[in-house]
This record gives sequence, structure tokens and C-alpha cells, in this order.
Amino acid sequence: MEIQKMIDDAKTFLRNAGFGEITSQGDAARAVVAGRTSEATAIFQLSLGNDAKAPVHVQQGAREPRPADVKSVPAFAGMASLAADPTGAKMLAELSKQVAAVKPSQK
Amino acid sequence: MSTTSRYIGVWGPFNGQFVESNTAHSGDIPFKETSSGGGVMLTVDRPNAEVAVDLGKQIATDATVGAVSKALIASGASLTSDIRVQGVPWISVPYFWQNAVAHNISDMLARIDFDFIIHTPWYCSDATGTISVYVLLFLDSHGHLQGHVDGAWWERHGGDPFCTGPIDSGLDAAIPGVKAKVKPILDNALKAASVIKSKRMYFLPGNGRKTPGTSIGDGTTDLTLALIPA
Repeated sequence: MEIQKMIDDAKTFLRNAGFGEITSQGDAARAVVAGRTSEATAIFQLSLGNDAKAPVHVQQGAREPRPADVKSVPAFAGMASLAADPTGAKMLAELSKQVAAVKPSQK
Repeated sequence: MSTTSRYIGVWGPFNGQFVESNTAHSGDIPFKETSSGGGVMLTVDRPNAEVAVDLGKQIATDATVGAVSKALIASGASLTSDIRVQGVPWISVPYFWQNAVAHNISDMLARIDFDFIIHTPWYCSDATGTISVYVLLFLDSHGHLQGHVDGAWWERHGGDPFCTGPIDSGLDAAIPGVKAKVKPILDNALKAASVIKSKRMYFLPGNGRKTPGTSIGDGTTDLTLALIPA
């Protein structure tokens, strides 16, 4: 797949999923489809319109494991609608595949 | 009263100001949720049986604000905002890439966050920032609502040039305490709803009102959890 098409697909994916327009354009979109972790995180934040909150410095606290007895979690409606659309479902599957392929060292 | 609620926000209904439009129905309607316009518009058919929990109201109580303010003052910081509650897709949680498969890609978590300021000596700029705690709300195998503190994140601006190290160390040290304090607050906020055996749960931006007509809300400051009893 040509890189430009991957960028366009990623941008369309994010827009259709309700994340808004990508504000940082090509570089960050390219990071999403390439699975580059820190840049990919940045784009999701930027695409949510959080530019004004972009930190000078960020650091995370510890995260906890998911509880065992989870039957149902509220779904992000934009994502659910996207999954119902054949084109969107294909893109969602591709993104899920990329996410699942992220190696521990990249996390 | 069954109601169709339509939420329209430029950045999506859960991320900034939105316009809310409620239409009441004389008869009952089944639950349905659709997103359209590239995620700009969310339409939810809300049945009679819906039980709505305004998480902002339940969590950001005077007691919570007081406790947070007190804890910050004890740490040399001050609270500079309201306590906000927002729906956040898992994919846009800051620590998503640390373990992307920890949740389903379509899952939505709730973020509880607030701003702070730390005054510093004259040779450093004051530091401001935000502490966010992400919680996973879910129905267990018995259909009961549960709340789980999933993780936490902080952001800092300023404190340069000499004070950033101690400030960051202090924030790192404070995070476990913040998470520990959030859990009982969360349990208390969900207490009434958790006894209901439910078959479905979903989020609504804002305070979950059903009053017919149009109003303005803010998806970054308030979030409602809705349940449909089994």
C-alpha cells in the first residue's frame, strides 16, 4: 500500500470514528499506520483537538490490570457505527491488527 | 418518559461543547445509539426504563472538592479548576500504547481530572498541570455496575529551570494516593445504581437530562452513565 494511501486511510478512519480532523497532518498520520508508538499517541491526542492542552512535559502513573469479571463496557458510539459500515469495519480490523501487533518493547 | 436525545459537537459530543436536543415520545421506545456526520452527531433513543447517573454531579461533590483541595495544599499545590468527568475512548487514553490490547478498541473509559498550580521559589516559574484518573465502568457477569480505577496520568507546564525535578518526583509520588482516594469516591457515586441488575449500559455526554427542547452542554466537564435494567 502506498504511504499516501495509508495516510489518507488513517485520516479517514480517525475522522469517521469521531476524532475530528487530524491537525498535525502527514507526519503523525504516517506514524499511526506505521505503528510508531509515541508519535501515534500524539496524533490521537491532537486529533481529539487537545492541542491547547498538549503538555510541555508528560508522565504517567501506574496502570492497573483489567478486572476479570467484565461482561460489558460502554462503547464509543463513533467506533460502533464505524464497525457497522463495511469500509469502516475493514479499517477497524486493520487498526486492531496493528494494535495487537505492537510488541511489548514498543509499548 | 422515553426520549430521543441528539447531541452535536464540533469535536464530537464527548469532547467540548455540544448542542443537545431532546424529543419526548408518548410511548416507550427501544434503546438505539447511532453516530453520524463523521462522529459529530450522536443520537440516542432512551427507553422509559433508563436509569441515568450524572457522574459529574455524583463525583464532583463539595466533599470531593474539599478532599482534593486539602490533599493538594498538603503537597504544596492548589486546586485551580472544577473536578471534571469526561468520556474518553480507550484509543485516546494517554497510556493506550503501553498495553493497547488491555481493553477492546471500542471501549470507552471515564476520565476524572482537575488542574493544579504549584508556586515555586523566585528562581523558577510556577508549575501548572492536570492530574487525570481513568476509570473503567462495566457490568459484571451478574449485570451489576462496577467501577475500576484503570490508571492515572499527569501533565505539567512550567517549573523551569531548576524546579522541575522535585515537582515531577512529587507528582509521581502523589499518583498512588490520588488513585487510592478516587476508588471510594467512585464506589460511593455508583452505590445506588450498582444494586440494579442491568442488561445494557451506555454513556451520554453532559448531565443526561431528558427535558424536551434544546440546550448547550459541555462533554469535557460532565458525563452521564445510563443503565437499562434487566
